[in-house]
Order: sequence, then C-alpha cells, then structure tokens
Amino acid sequence: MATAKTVVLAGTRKGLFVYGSRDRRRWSGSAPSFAGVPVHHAVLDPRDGKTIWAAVNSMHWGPTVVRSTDLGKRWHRPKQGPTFPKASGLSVAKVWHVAPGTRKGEVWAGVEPGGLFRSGDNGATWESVEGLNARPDRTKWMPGGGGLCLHTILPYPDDPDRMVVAISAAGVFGTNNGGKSWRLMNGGVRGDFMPEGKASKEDALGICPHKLVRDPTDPAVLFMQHHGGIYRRRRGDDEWTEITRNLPSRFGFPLAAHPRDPGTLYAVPLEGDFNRVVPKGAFAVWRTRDSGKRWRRLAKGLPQEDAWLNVLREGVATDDHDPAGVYVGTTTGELYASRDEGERWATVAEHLPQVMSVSAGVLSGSAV
Amino acid sequence: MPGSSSVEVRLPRSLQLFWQAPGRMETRGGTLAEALASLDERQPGLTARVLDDQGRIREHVGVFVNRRDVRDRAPKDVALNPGDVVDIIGAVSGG
Repeated sequence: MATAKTVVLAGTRKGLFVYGSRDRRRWSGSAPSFAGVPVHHAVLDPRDGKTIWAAVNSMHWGPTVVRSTDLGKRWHRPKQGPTFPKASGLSVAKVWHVAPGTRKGEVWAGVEPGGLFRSGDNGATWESVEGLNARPDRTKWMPGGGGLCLHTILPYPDDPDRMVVAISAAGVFGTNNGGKSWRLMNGGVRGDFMPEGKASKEDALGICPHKLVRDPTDPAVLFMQHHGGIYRRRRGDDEWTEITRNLPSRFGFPLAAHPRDPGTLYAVPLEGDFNRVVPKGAFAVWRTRDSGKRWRRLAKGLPQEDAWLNVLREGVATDDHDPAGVYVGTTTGELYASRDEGERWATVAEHLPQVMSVSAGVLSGSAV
Repeated sequence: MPGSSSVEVRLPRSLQLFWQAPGRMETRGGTLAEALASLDERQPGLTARVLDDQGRIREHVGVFVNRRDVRDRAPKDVALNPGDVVDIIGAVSGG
C-alpha cells in the first residue's frame, strides 16, 4: 500500500522548488515556480494538506503572497498583496513569512519593514494589523542585517486571540486580544552586541530574534535562536533562559521543533556573527532532546570538509512522520533530508540557487 | 500599432513571466494612474506590480511615455494621449 506523499518546499533566491516522495528515500522534483524570483518562504497548509502558500519577492515587481492547490502547477496571484495603509507612509518591501491561521480562510504574513498582515479570505485581500504595525515605538525599531523583517508568526492552535511574532531586531511581541495590543517579551536576553553581562528587560526594544518555534505539546513554551544564543521560555516565565550549553557557538539562524516530542529542537550553529559559516567547514545539524540541557552533533551524510556554507533562518524543517523527517537547505544550494530524526542525512538536491527556506508537509489523500 | 484612440502599454519579459501578463496591452488615455487601473481590470494585480503601497512607481521599475522617462513623477500627474506608447521596464538591478 502506498504511503502518504511527503512534500518538501525549498524557497530559493531564484524560485520555488517542490520535491515529493512516498518513502522519503527517493525524491522527485520539477521545474521551479517563479523562476528567477526570490521566494523567502513557502509552506504546505496543514489544514487541507493541499494548499501551498509562498512569499514571493520580485526585485523589480515587488512582494506578494501567492497560493497553489496543485503543487505549483498553477498559482493564484492576488490583485493586491499585503499593503500598508496610505497614512503610514510605508510600503511593503518583502514578505518574509507566511503562516496559515486557525480560523477558516485565515492566513498571516510577516513583512519588511516590520509588519504583520492578516487575510480572512485565503489571501484575496489583506489587512494591516495596526495594533502592532502602528505602535508608537515603531520609530525605534532597528533593522537587523537582513532588514527590519517580521519573520516568525506563531498563532495559538486553540486560541485565535493569542499570537507571538518576532521582528529582527525589535524583538518578540505577544498578543492575547486578537492583535489589538501587543506586549514585548524580550526579558533576560543577552547578546554579543549588547554590553557584557547586561540582559534585556522584558519591555525593552532591541533584541535580535533570528527564529522562534514553539513546543509541540504546549503552545506557551517557546524556543528562540537569538543573535547571541538559544533561549527557552516556559509557560508563565517572565523572561528567557539561555540553553546554548555545549553548542560550538551562540550564533545561528534557524531553529526547528520536533513535531511531537517536547523539548526536541534542531539548530545550526555558525562560527559567529563575524563569520557566518558552519565551524571549521564541517556541516552539522545539532539536536537536543531535553530542552537544551545537552546538544548532540548530527553529521552523518553531511559534508565534513570545505563546506563553507550557511543555513538561513527558515532553512531547517521537520515533517509529521514517526520517526520524524528533518530537512535542511544551505546557502550553497544543497537540500538534505533525514528520515530518522537527524541521525543520517541524504542529498535531495544540489546546485540549487541559495536556499532561503525549507518546509515539509504531508499531502492529503485528495491532493496526491 | 495601436489605433489612434488608444494608448499602447508594453510590458517586459520579466513581468510577463512573473505575472503571466501579455507583452502589450491597449488602454484609453487619461493619466498613467488611470491607465494602470484600467489594465488592472483585465490583468488583476498588475498595478501593484508597478506601483508600491503609496502609489509611487516601484524603486526598480522604469516607465517611459514615448521614450520620455516619467518615473520620478506621480502616476496621477502623467497625462496620456491617444497614440502614446508607454514602456514599463525592469531597471538594471538584481543579483
């Protein structure tokens, strides 16, 4: 009996590549969608196991969010993507992240310069979340190296009024009233770009979250790869606690959570912010199974010599299988997959354009 | 050639590929903003590819009317007359 088809989406500097497999050993791909155009993020909507959402950012023709229900053969191009109100004086430069929502037809988009947008009609129209986008402290938000990007959107699966988002380098924001108001969640974070020993206050701007994920068993438990360290925040905590421990570096971009196991995370430490490549030219993904008490280096099947590459903030993903699949895409255009939770890796594709995002999902029966 | 009562708008290959747009479209006179709005009815989303959130011509887009550069002008202030030819191009940029 055929098993469900796993799909891996690789958003690259030059288009979106879609790969599929029934056994997660042999992968097939097709010609890229939006060839030549950066795709910062793409995701298979878990609500229907069929719709692909993609954040497409043409250098010339601007940013937008598109969707396909046939694995990228045809795309629905909306009349108007996320658009700032005229009064703001702002224009969306890039869409960095797309997140399927909790309500029917709901989709979220995170943009540069620092903005959150909601669609309630499957991406046909978008509204600016003014409670966040028009905060008075917006004038003090500072861009990180990649720009002032809102790159993480975490709706609460069981409470549509709650959400956590992250903006580099303003910080982490949370709402519990459907986005009307937001509070900063930056407490306890330290960074190499901050005075030594100084930790951020909870309501202070200026930390640089690179990626946030939540624990699969408790949506209030968060993990963050910060510019300077990996952090955990438990339910009820009023600050972050560093869990970098035995990793070779505090610095990295991506972070991914296991689909079921609490406290199991995947990270890719780099040399540091001064040299954003994997240490010593040896590529490894690191995994913790105990919320960061101990990290283990996973490198079987990954290049261990002369691999001077980076993995960007959306570059690691897991699937929903048991054992979980883990996927990682590099700035040098390789896409690797593990079908045993990171123990061994195999090459899915190489010579791709720079990989900007990786996500994985399982197609619904009707979409296969 | 467009009829004497219409304006010809020529779109570059990169926009044709990105937005599945035709290479050329015809519209009536008026202003550039009105012409784009008219094209948007037939090619939904085209205006947002050329203009940013504030209604300005996008940073890396060039617009020429009868080969005259109008990119620094507000589209609502650019008059188009029957027989005019509008070239929309992707500026030299990329990576």
